[in-house]
Amino acid sequence: MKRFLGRTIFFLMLVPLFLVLFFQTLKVLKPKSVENSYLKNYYKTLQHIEAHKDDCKIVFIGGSNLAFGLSAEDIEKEFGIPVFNFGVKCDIGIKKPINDVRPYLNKCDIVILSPEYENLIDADYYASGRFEVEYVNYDFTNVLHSFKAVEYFAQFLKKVLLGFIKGNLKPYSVSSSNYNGDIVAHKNSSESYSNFHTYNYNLAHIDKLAKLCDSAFAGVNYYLIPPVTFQGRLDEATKLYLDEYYAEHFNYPIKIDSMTFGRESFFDTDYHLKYDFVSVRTGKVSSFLKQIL
Amino acid sequence: MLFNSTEFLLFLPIVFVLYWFLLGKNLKLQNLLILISSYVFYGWWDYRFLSLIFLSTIVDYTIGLQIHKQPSAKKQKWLLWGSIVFNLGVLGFFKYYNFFVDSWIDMFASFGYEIKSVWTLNIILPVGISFYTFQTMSYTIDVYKKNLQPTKDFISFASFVAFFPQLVAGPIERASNLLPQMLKERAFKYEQGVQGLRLILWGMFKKVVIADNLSVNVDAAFNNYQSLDGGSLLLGMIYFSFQIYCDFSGYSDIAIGTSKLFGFELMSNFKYPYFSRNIGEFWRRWHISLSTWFRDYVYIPLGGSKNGKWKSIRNIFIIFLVSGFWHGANWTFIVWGLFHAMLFLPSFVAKNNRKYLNSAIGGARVFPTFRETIQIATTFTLVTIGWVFFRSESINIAINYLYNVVTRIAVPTQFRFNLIYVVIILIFEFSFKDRERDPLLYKNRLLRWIMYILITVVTYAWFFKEQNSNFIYFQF
Repeated sequence: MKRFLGRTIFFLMLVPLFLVLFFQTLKVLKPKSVENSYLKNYYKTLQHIEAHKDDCKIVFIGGSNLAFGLSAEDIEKEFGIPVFNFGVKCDIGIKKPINDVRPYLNKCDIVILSPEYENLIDADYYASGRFEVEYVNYDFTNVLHSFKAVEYFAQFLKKVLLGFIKGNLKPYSVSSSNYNGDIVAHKNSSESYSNFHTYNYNLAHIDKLAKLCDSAFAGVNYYLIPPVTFQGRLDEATKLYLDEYYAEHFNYPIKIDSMTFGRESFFDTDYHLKYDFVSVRTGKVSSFLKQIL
Repeated sequence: MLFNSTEFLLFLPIVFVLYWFLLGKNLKLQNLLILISSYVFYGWWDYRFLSLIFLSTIVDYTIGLQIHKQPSAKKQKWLLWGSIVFNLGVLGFFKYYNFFVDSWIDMFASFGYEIKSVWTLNIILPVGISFYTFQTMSYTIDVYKKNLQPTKDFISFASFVAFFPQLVAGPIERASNLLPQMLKERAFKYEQGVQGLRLILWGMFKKVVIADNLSVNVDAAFNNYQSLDGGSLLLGMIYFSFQIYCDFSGYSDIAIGTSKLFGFELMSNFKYPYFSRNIGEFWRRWHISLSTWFRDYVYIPLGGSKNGKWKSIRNIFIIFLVSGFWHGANWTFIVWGLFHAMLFLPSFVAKNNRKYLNSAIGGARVFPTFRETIQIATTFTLVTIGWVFFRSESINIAINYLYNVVTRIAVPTQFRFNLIYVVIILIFEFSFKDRERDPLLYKNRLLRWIMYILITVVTYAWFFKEQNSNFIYFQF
C-alpha cells in the first residue's frame, strides 16, 4: 500500500510539473500570426465598446452575418451616436459576446441581437469556437487559467490544419474591420458562393437565449432581428413558426422575409453578404431604428 | 453520480481511504461500507429508486435461500419463476410498458381504429435497471441450477447487487464470480491497484476526450441527415461507432479499474471489438457480459445448437432479438438485433462463427495481414450500418440516413477534423490489442510514464469542459 500511495502521489506531483513545462513550451510556440488573426477583431471591437461605456450607444451582437453584412459605421453617421458591430464568428456562440459586452452597457443603450441560425441547431449552443477566440487573447501567465490552454492550443491547431487541408485560409486579419467592428475587407471581392445548406432548428435554444438576455440585459432595451440568409433556406412553415416563436420571446421588429437575399448576394458562405448588399441590409435596419430613436 | 464528475473524483478517494485504512481488517464493515457507498452513488442520481434496488435485493435474497431449503424440485421451479416474473415485471413496467401500449394503439390505428391513449403513463426509467435486474436474476438461476450456494449474509448480498462501480452500466456480473469475492477477505495488492488506476485513466480518456468530442458531430449528422452530403453523413456513422464504443467501453474500464482498487476482479466487457474479423468474433468482443449472459441463461436453456439446424437458427434469432430489445423500447433496437442475427447466420450455417476464438489479429506480427485487414474493414462496415438503426429515432430515419449516404456520396464537407480522434484511438488500441485489462502498459518505463502524464493532462483539460455528460448506456 505504501508503495502504491507513494507512487500515486509522485505521479500526481509530476503532472503539474509537466503542465508548467508544457505551458512554457506553448508560450514559446504561440505563433506570431495569432496576434494578427481575424479573431482579434473580437477584442478590438470590445475595447472600442468599452471606451464608450458611459455613452448612449447601439450595439449589434451576433455572428459573422453581422460582421460581413451590416455597416455600423453608416448607422452611426445617420443617427449621430456610437454604433458597434459585435458580430465576429458564429461558433463563438452567443453567450460569450453577450456576457463580455454586458459590463459596458447603459440603460440608454440599445442592443440588437442577430443570432445565427447555426446557434439554433445543435446542443453546442455555447459553441466550441469560444476556445479559439479565447486562445488568441491568451498570455499563459495565469497558471490556473492555463489548464484551458491545452484545449485552446488544440483548437488553434485544428484551425491551422483545416485551413491547410482546405488550402483556403481567408486573408482576413485584425485589420479587416473598421473602428465600428464592420468587416470591410470584402469590399472588392468578386467571389460567389454556391454550396447552400438547409438545417433543422431546435426551438429550445431560443428559450435559452431569451432567458440569458432577460438576465444579461436587465434595464436595457434590446431587440432581436433575424440574420441574413438565402431565399430557400427556410420553407414558409419554418419561417412562420420561427417568426412567431421569436416574437413571443423578444421585441422582434423585422421578420425573416425582410432578411432573405437571392443566392447571388452571398460571397464566401451562405450567410456572408457581398459588400454591395451590405447597404441594403443596413437600410432595412436603419428604417426600424428611426421608429425607436 | 457520474464517473466523469467532480463529485466522483472526491467520492472515490474518500471511500478508498475508509475502506483500506479504517476498515481494512473487518470484512463485514468493508462490505457495509461498499453497500452504503453504492447507495450514495446511486441515490446521487435519484434516491427514490433506491427502494427499487432494495426491493429487488430482498426478493432475490429470500428466494435464493428458499430455493436452497426447498426439497421439492417443483417448488424450487415455482420459486425460480417467482423471481424471474418479479424481476422482468419490474423491468417490463419501467422500461417497456409505454412501448407496448403505444405499439398496440399504432397497430389498431393502422387498421383504421383510432384509440385515445389513456393508458400511456409518465414513467421515469430508473438508471441501470436493466443491468442490476439481470445481475440479480443470474443469482437465483445459479442457485436453482446448484451452481452456487445461496448466501445468508444479507449485507454482502446487497453489496453484490448494488456494487457501485458496475451498478448502472455493467459489466453485468455473475453471482458466481462477484459474490464469492464479497464473502472472502481481501488484501490490497500493488499490481492490482496500479492496473486499476491505469484502467480508470484509459476509460476516462476514451469517454471524456474521444466519445464526448465525437458526440458533437454525431448529433449534428443525425439531426441534419436530410441536408448534409453523403460523405459527412458517412463520417457521422463512423464517429457514432467510435463514440458508442469509447463511451461504453470507457465506462466498463473505469468500473473494472475502480473495482480493482477495492480488491475485486470484474469480468472483461470489451476486447477491442472493432478489430474483429467476422461478426461471430465481434460478439465475443463486444459487451461480453451481456452476450454471455444471454448465451448462458437464454440460448443454452433453449437448446443452443444441439437440437438441429432449424432450432439453432430459431435460438439465434431469439437471442439477438432479445438482445436488441434489452437495449430499449423502440423498434430501432429490434431491427438492430435482427440485423445482427442476419449477419451472424451465414457464418453460423457455414460453421466458421467460432473461427477466431483465441487468436489476436496479426498474431505475433506488428500489423495484420492484408486478408485480416479486409476482414476487419468488412466487419466494421457491417457493424457501423447496424449502429445507424441503433442511433436513429425511428426505422424510417435510419433508412433515409443510409439512403442519403449512398445517393449523395461525396468528399465530406463537414466533420473532417474529428477523424483525428478516430486515428488516435485506433493507434492506441492497436498498440495494446491483446491485453484489454492492461492498457498503456508499455514495456519501456519512460514511454509508459510519458503516456500516463500526457493522457492525464489531456483528459484533465477536457474533463472540465465536458464533465457530467451522460454515458450512453445509462438509458438502457
